[in-house]
Amino acid sequence: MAAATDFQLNKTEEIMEGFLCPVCLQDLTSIAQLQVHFEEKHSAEDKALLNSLKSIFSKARKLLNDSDTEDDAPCASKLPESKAGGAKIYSNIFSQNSVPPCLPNCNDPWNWQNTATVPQRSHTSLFKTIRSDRIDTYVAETNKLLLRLDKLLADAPSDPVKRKAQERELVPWVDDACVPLCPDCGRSFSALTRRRHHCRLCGAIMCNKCSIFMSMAFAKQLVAPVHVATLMSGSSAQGKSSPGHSRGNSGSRHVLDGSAGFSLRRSGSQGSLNSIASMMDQLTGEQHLRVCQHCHQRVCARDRAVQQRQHQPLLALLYRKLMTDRATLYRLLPQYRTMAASLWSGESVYNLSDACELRLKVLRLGDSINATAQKIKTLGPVEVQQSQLNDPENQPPLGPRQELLQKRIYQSAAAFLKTNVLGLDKLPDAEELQQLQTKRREQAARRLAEERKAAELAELRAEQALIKLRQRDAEVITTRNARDRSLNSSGSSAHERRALVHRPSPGASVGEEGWGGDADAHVVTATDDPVVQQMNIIRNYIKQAREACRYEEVSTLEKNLKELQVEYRRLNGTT
Amino acid sequence: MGAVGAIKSYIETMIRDSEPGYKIMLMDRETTAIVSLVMAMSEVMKQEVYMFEQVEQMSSGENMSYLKCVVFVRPTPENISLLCRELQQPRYGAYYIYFSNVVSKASVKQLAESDEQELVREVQEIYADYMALAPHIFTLNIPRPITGMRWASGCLQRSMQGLTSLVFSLSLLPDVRYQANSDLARQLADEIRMMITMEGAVVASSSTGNSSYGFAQYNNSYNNSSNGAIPSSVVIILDRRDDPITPLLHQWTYEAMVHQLLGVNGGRVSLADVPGIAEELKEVVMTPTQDEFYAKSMYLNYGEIGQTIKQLMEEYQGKLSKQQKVESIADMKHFVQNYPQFKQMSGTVSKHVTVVGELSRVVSARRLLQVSECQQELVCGTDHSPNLQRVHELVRDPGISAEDAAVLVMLYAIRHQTHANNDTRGLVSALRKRSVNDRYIKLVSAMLEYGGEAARQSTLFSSPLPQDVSAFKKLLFKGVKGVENVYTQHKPLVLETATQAVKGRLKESSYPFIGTAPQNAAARPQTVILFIIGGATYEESAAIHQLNCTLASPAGGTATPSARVLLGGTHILNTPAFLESVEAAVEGTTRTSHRL
Repeated sequence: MAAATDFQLNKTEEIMEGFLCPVCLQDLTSIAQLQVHFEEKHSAEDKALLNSLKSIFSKARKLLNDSDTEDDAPCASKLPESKAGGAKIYSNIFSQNSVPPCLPNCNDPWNWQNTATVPQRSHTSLFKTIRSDRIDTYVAETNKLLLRLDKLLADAPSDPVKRKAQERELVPWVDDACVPLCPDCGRSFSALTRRRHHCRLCGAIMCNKCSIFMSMAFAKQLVAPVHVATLMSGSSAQGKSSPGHSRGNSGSRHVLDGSAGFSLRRSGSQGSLNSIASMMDQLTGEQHLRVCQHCHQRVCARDRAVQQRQHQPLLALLYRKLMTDRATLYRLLPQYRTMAASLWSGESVYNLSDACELRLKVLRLGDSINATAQKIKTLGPVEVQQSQLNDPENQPPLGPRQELLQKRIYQSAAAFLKTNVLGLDKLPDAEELQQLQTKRREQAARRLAEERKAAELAELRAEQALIKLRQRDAEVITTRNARDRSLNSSGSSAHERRALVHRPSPGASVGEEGWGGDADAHVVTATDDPVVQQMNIIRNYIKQAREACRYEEVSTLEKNLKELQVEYRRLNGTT
Repeated sequence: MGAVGAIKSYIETMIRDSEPGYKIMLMDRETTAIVSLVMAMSEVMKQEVYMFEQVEQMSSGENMSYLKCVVFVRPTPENISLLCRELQQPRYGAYYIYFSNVVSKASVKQLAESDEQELVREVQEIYADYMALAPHIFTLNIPRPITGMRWASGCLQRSMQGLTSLVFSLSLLPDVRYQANSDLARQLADEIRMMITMEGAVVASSSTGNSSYGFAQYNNSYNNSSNGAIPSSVVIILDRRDDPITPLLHQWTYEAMVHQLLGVNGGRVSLADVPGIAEELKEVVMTPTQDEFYAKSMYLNYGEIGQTIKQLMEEYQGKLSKQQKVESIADMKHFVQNYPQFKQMSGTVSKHVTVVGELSRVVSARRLLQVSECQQELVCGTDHSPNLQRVHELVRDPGISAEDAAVLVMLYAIRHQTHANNDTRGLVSALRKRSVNDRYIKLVSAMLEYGGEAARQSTLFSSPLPQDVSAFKKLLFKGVKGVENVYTQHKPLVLETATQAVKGRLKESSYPFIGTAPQNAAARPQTVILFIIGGATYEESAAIHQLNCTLASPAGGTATPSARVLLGGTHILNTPAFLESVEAAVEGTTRTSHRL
């Protein structure tokens, strides 16, 4: 009702209504008061602004008066219109005078607004189509090699001659005559110095130098994890167990028969092993399987992929913990800050004990982050030892880059703690809190008194100003005076309304947040007394709010509960 | 949205889309520059990117399969093959590949065929192929785009890519105009228009949020874009040869001075030559995106910056005395709490105090006030004989450095090229007498070849301001608003061009459109992108910034300004860099005249 001015300072800011002072934004109840206030408080500040404002006031007044004189009787229904006219001029003058100082360069490139999205184009699906076409053949090839390897290891006859026959039967060997030169190094073969050899996996021919000797242990490992991996994809329950572990456990499964059988044979006879290995390193006496480079690369890549899927480095585990802690901390911090600020300003929205608890929680999280980060920083050797247990050959030693990574993780965690936890606001103790709260109450009372006094004073001055005006234009004044009064009353009633809205309404807030409707919220002890039921419900709510860290609601709910208790006692007393 | 904002949101998209977990970022030399100009490393590290690697120097390094790798590279053939090699022998657990510009299907195929272990999760194309220095200015870091008055190899392509990526990143489908007398400009404009026609669907689909919004509509909306969803905009290709004056003048705004006298390279300033410099100040970061104080003061002039630094010092000292009073436990706590901000501030203070100190040392050592005054009189005054006399005096003065003397002669040669009593020869022989390096003497004629009367289409010296320059001397650096400062009278030509373009009054004869002119050629474009072949200067950047600030908003609101202007160049010039690029430009051409 009292709205007269649309004062838009900034898009984001809330729109204030009323007769606002353009300089200090104080809400005044009438034009006259505003003018008086302005002359009194801001006369020294800006002559130009004052002048322009003055002219606006007179314009606005004229407008108001015009509309009033148009219709001789001060009719309430006419009022909003006239005010709207005034409002237009007001918003004009404000946009001219007070907006530019706030935003001196409204088109400063640094203020250019970002659009929400920047265009981009995805090639992922094209990429994946092309890749999957290729991968299919690749995977099929690899699988073929692994199957052959499995058979080579599993059903090998002990006799060297038979073995060779079996090998040739499993893998068709390329005819010697077809290959005059070693396909890898390009040198010609001869019967004595450079003999032809066959890859046991694909049957291709190469020279001795170009062949790779796969150790039996590795070959065994290659075959075993294939089954483990397929098993694991079938039953995710086994997901975490290490290859050796699952091998021991599930010996009964037929897929693992191969490896089980293999280890049996190995312990059986050294001679048969010699024959399994098509070539034996004379110096160490270790067994090897001759393969070509391409096959070796393929099976190795496969091995690596399997390893990667299974191997969960300690670093990853620690890091995940670090990040979840960080996220939790991040969630709690703003809550804590508002609580602390509220407590320090002497408000009684939050409970001190709740704040303390939250503070402790935050600090504990900080400690945990710090400890994890420290662990990550010094992880290096541990990581190597751990991985050495799993597989001794394929794990590279801790390199400088991993060290750097660990250091960087530590640094950024430390920086995070420094900015967020180290400077954590202190909480007042109980005594201080009491003092703060009484101080605030006193202050509020004082401010209220001051405001009342100022309002009276301004009213007085407004009267005087009006008297002056009256002398100038007696006829108009009569109508204005009446209007002024009505304005004052409507202004104050608006004030009251706002105050009403400000008061927190706990029921509504619980309903809004939605968590109050959980089933267990209504688990109340069977009692007929509605007040007792109500109290129990509220107790439940409090519990839930605590768990959800909504301390603001805890205290309002507690207040409610107390009121209910008083009520209940009163009722009981009367009955 | 400005250039910086666009690049930043691309970086954030990249990091966000690659899922949580520790990451490494694999970039090439240029994309590293693109990222480092808009974001500090610590800022990126906050988002879980802990390590950085350059594609060109990929170490055979250890396998770190637990790391996710965000790849951000230009889609060059070299980068593609390097990436292929990386994918064949992967060192990381997952790859998210982002190309900084349009990538060909063939390249995608090549990559896909290398990814035998199925480690690539994303292949995206984003449009961040330019270095954003501030929201309104960008560069492509091509120091010598022209040799023998033609595009140097690859530079035309690179300029086209940079500009189109800027246009796409801002979601624009602009008309393309070029400076009529420049072949280089026309070639570039042609290429840009072609690229926009071919790939513009990206913008069309993203801005309407509808992928079926195909190219037919785009072509329709191209010519009457003011009706469509895409705001009207124009790219204007300019040639440095039309204004060779601006890069020769001494500058007096903070940013321009730093570049002119110390040299900024990729947002970094080397202070290693400063006598008695502290170790941590040998190289300092000077980018407005990472230094709040610099962002606020980069366009202040020399006099104002002194004042501002003084204020900063006082503020700092106030805090310092508070910090040093650590007596009680409470003080200590306070100290610890405020230490990070304090330390940051002390870094800022020492940096800027050192930089400004060095600037003032150079200014007085090279007597730049005198030189600059003479320069301004040359380019803004009209009288020939006092100019000649003053230049003669300074050229003979041994207190003026050889380079400054040579630059004065060049300015004179260009300014009074057609004057009846032109005495460039006399000045050159005066330079010889001073035994100035032969390079500079050659440069005088090279400059005439590069930016003489014949090379220009605009009237560079048409606005004679018959004002007595010396009358303003007393107002020197007082920062009195509205009064022309004697050292900053010169207004760059590009400002005039930009102003005309914003008003929709740019002559079609001087700046024709590529293809047919749109029907609404006279309409005011909402975005004007100026690109100078041969490089832009910070003086021009400051002028465009000023122009942007004064462009009135249509309805008095602050949200939508009537227009914005962006400026870019193949490079950001200072005088030494400009001289080098001129040398390269005239190399191998037959001199038509100007034997000196």
